[in-house]
Amino acid sequence: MSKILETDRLMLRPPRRSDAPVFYRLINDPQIAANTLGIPYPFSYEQALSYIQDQLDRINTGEYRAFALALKPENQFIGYARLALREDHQRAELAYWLGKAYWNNGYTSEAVACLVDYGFQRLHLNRIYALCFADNTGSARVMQKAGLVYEGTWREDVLKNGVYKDVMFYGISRDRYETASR
Amino acid sequence: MDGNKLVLETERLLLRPHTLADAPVMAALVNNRKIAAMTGTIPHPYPDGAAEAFIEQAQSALADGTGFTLAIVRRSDSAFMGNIGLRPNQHHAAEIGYWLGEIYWGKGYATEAAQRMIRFAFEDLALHRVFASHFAINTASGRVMQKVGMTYEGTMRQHIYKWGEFHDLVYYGILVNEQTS
Repeated sequence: MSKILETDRLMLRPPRRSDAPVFYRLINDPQIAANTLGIPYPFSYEQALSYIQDQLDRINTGEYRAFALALKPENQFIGYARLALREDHQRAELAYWLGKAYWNNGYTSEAVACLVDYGFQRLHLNRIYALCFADNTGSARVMQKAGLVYEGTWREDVLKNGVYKDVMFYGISRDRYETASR
Repeated sequence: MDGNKLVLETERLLLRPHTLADAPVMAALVNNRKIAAMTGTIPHPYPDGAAEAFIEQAQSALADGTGFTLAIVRRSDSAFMGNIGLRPNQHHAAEIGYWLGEIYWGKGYATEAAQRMIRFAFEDLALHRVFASHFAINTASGRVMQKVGMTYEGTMRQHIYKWGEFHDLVYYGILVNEQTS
């Protein structure tokens, strides 16, 4: 179950408990929290440990394919991505975050393109979708570049730091993926 | 609030907690291929005991305030016609869902029930948002959402796999300040 994927600049490998120190340093960031549905700020070291353990548990049950994003050649941890599988519907929800120091280099797009290929080609999914806050244009661009199509906006759907935020959803189905790949 | 005492009234309907006595009628109405075909969670044939289990779960959710699933009953003859439910989340939003037995379709009952439930969500539960989804093929359910003042928010393509087919899932939502009734 422990898969390693590779792109030009990244290794996508299973998260490890030993990622915790650098994981914590990157995730404990108000801008990460502001741009993700489920990550709070401040984020404690204990939360980082249990977050990683939760990923490992869900990998073991088959619910997640989760990956640390590691920058070659030193393979340092720079972010995280996962596919949450619903095998009964042959689909997965994609989610990701990248340490702020590594933004604007196309790393997330590189990882997400790799995971979309992995989802359709290796996991034989029919659909991959992802959510982002409507004001998170960076994340929306990542989804568009990976071929995901805008599908709608749940208005004022998530309460974050006292504000009701719009959540956009993007998706791609196998038919579109195969048409685009040809 | 003891949710098991919750009763919502409309012109023609009572929305009230289930009792186990509803189980046989509920099972008979919901055991309908046309209903199962257009919902994500209702199996067909409807298994023995499933109505009783559903009712017990609804009662316990009402008791602890985590969910508000009520029977849709016609006032004129006390007929049990279907179910409507509201499930709040930690974002002050709630998903609404409903079904009616086929013999009760086309009379505006679902609209009347949903309208009342939305008012309950905003006025009694002080929620901020109510949302709903329907299979794209279930256009009647979409019309109910439109009639109660919900706004189309998007369609998740091929999101649900049921009986060998992928179904688009259509989303609607209404915010507290958009209430018309």
